[in-house]
Amino acid sequence: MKFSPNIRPDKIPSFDRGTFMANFHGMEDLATELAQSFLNNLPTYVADIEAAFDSRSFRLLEIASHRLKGSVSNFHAESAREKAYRIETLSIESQIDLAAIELTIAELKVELKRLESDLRVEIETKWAL
Amino acid sequence: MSEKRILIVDDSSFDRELLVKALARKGGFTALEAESGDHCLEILERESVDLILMDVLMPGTIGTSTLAKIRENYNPIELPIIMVTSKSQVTDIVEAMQAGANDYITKPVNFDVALSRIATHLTLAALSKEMSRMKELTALNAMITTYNHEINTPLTTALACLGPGLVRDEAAVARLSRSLWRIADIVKKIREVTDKKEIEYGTYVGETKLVKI
Repeated sequence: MKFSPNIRPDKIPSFDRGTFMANFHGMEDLATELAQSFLNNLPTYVADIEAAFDSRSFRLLEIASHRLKGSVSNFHAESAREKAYRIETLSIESQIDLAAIELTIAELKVELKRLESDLRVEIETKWAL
Repeated sequence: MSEKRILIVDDSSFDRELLVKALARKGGFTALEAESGDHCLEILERESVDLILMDVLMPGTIGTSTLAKIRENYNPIELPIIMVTSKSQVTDIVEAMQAGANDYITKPVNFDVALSRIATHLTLAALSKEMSRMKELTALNAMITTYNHEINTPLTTALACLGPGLVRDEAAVARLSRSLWRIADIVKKIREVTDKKEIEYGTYVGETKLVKI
């Protein structure tokens, strides 16, 4: 992915707030409740992926990354979704590339941190910004 | 449609929670939850469900294998199943449709699209059930007409033969015997018709149907 020289990658929004909120039109309170629920679940999502990778259980890694992919996609968090999808596809290849998976997990965790930070701001401001 | 019960099958507790709450809020549905294919099958054994939303990929059982097991007991009209997939699972979608899924929606789930698809399949199911009920009524009415027509005539004859002084008349006794045997024969044939899977109809008078026996 190419970025404009004037825009740092970490300044790109971690999720598509407009599309997410369009789905929750008139249900902002539910959006807040679910964002909080997602944040509560996030450590488990990451732990499941790391445990599956550490034990080289690639079927479990496929399932864990698929599950996270589905959940972050609800927020239209494209970058995190793409990283989770990459782990999912890497875990079902005939020749497992451990280094590539490890690197992608690290990248995914960065994206999830950004998403977590952005969602916390939205929860605190009740999507008012 | 507030009385309708939707079973949401997904291994992700967050994704289940999202669908349960959004469908309840926007569609007024009552949602049940299952965390796996096996859990889904357990719930179906004890709960009444109008429609299932099922994730394609879950641990333990793949959604499509659960789908195939459900279809052993419920046809797509009795229990519509909408698969929930990611956009990248084209092969899974085809497999699921072949295994008996009624439809699919993609993640991230757009609530308006999901509600529209759910409403469509619930309406189709309701219409189909109504048609089945109408067919049953038609069959029942035809059966009653058949009984009435086929039995009434010989029975009237038999009763006439039993009039005062007539039972000593040999010809009358013979007619009485034939009539009663005719009634017995018709009853036997009607019993055979009820054992058939398909009922053939004839026309009695006007639009009134008659079961062919």
